[in-house]
Amino acid sequence: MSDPAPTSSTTTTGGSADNSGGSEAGGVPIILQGVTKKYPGTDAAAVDNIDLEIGAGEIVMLVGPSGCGKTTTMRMVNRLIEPTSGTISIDGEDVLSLNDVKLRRTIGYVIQQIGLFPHLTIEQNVAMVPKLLGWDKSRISTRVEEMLAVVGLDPHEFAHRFPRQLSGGQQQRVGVARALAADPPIMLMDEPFGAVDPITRTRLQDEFLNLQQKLRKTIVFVTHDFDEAVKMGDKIAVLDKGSRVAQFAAPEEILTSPADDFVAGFVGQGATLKRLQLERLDSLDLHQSSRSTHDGVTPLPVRSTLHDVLDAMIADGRDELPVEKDGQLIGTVTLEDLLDRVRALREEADGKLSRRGDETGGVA
Amino acid sequence: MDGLPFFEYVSLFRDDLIFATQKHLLVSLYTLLIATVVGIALGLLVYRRASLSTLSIGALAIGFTIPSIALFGLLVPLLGTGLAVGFPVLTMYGLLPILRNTIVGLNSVDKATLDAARGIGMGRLRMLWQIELPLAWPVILTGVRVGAQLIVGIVVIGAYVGVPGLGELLFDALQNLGAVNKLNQALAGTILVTLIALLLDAAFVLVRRYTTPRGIRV
Ligand SMILES: Nc1ncnc2c1ncn2[C@@H]1O[C@H](COP(=O)(O)OP(=O)(O)OP(=O)(O)O)[C@@H](O)[C@H]1O
Ligand SMILES: [Mg+2]
Repeated sequence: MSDPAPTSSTTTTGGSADNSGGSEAGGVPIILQGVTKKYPGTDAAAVDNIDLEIGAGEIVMLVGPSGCGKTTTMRMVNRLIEPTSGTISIDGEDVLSLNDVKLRRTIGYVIQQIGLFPHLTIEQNVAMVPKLLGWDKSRISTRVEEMLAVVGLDPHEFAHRFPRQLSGGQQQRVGVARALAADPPIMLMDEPFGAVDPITRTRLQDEFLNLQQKLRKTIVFVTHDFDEAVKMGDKIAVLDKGSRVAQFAAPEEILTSPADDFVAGFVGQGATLKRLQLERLDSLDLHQSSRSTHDGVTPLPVRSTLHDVLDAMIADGRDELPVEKDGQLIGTVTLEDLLDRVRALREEADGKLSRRGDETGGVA
Repeated sequence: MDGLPFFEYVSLFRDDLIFATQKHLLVSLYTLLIATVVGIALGLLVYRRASLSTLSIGALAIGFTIPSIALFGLLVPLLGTGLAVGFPVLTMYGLLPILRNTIVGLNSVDKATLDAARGIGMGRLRMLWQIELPLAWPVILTGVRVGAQLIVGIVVIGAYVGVPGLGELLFDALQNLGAVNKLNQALAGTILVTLIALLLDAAFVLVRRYTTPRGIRV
């Protein structure tokens, strides 16, 4: 389940092959080479010689402790911060050769504080970038309606409101709609769902993942929540001080074989459970059940994660549960199946680790 | 007893009173206009640099403590009397709150809003015009309002060095308080100055109402 090498910079249509869905990438690749940022008056570089290749249509999560340089790294991509040295290219073009203001109009930008324009209506907020790009009026208004609907806000209800008349979660949606409005190939998102409650955050995450299935943008997503990184990322870059890339890999790989103690520490407790969140029932061979009903037990949808399955087994006190697809029972799954799967994952990981002679973290 | 009943005085000297009021209002409005333009322009030059902003605000605070009568006295030998000294001094005082509030207002615009504006590709000027000025506007306008009150009051004092307006009536009345109708004259002058001040204030309430963006109206 490990990733192929990062896609080459020359690809324009392929995107990363490991993404499910199979639609074409709407995004373009981003490549950082030897990028360093030293703020004036500081000793250590905030970002020290980072190399990172982000494939077209991928969500790359930047995680790491506070102050490690995630925001700085991200903001150099749209030149809100100018690198001290190194090159950043987007779709093969060096960003430093482009007009910075125009460049930013082609890159969606979402921040934790949202930053809606308080004196403009929701409609005007979302219309801002298309207006900057000189779209005509009717195209803009169609687009605004479409974008509000995409982020789950009824245009008739919300278009003419002002930001202060919206809840935090609704404002966050408007922030995403504003960033998406001009259909940029790239999105930079700095802790975009940080300012809302956990339930709203989960909803926003799910909706955003659904959206991304269709849009296939190239997304750089900063978070310090490792679980969010696991959930959202095609790849995760675990960063240490100075944006040192401690590990850059798919979530599965980071969970099963963290590159070093720093990464292991960041993964934290419960790596196996987190790993189960990434596996779905349809990856297991189900047992054919002779019975057609399972007296009062709600069958699990086949799209459930193994984590959900385990949770349901514990909750129901059973070691076997029925599985349904489109309302039809298609078989059963047992606790033994889950344990087998975990064993297989461990062996996979041990295989990788034995090369380094490392020991796995203290997760039973 | 000396002089007429107040209302008879007013109707008899109606034209004089109206003329003095007109002069007072015009001098106030002209200097306020200049002070507003200059104050906002200076504010725009200064506000982006923190050290300059702090320095300016400190200097302005000192400016407030200089009594206008002293400044008039100091400048008459240089500039002469009447509007020649009146315009610069009045403009200077009107400028103080306007410049201060322009700096403060522009600097208090939420940093996240500005970051988002820059991040989605707004240029410097567009940001200033479409984001910063509208958001700072209520604060700037308050500065103009305070400036207006200040100017209306100082025009009165300016009569001492020949600045035209209701101050002329008042000074004349105070200097000849025993004479016929002078008490009426002082009373009428005072009432009219107060009326101008109240009128301007009411005008600002309206301007504020109709120029504050709806999204940030409280
Ligand atoms: N404008 C600045 N001037 C000087 N130093 C700065 C500036 N901005 C950031 N830094 C420093 O650079 C380092 C990296 O900052 P950055 O904001 O990129 O961290 P981060 O990983 O995004 O942290 P967080 O998770 O807290 O947002 C920090 O040590 C910070 O103090
Ligand atoms: Mg940050």
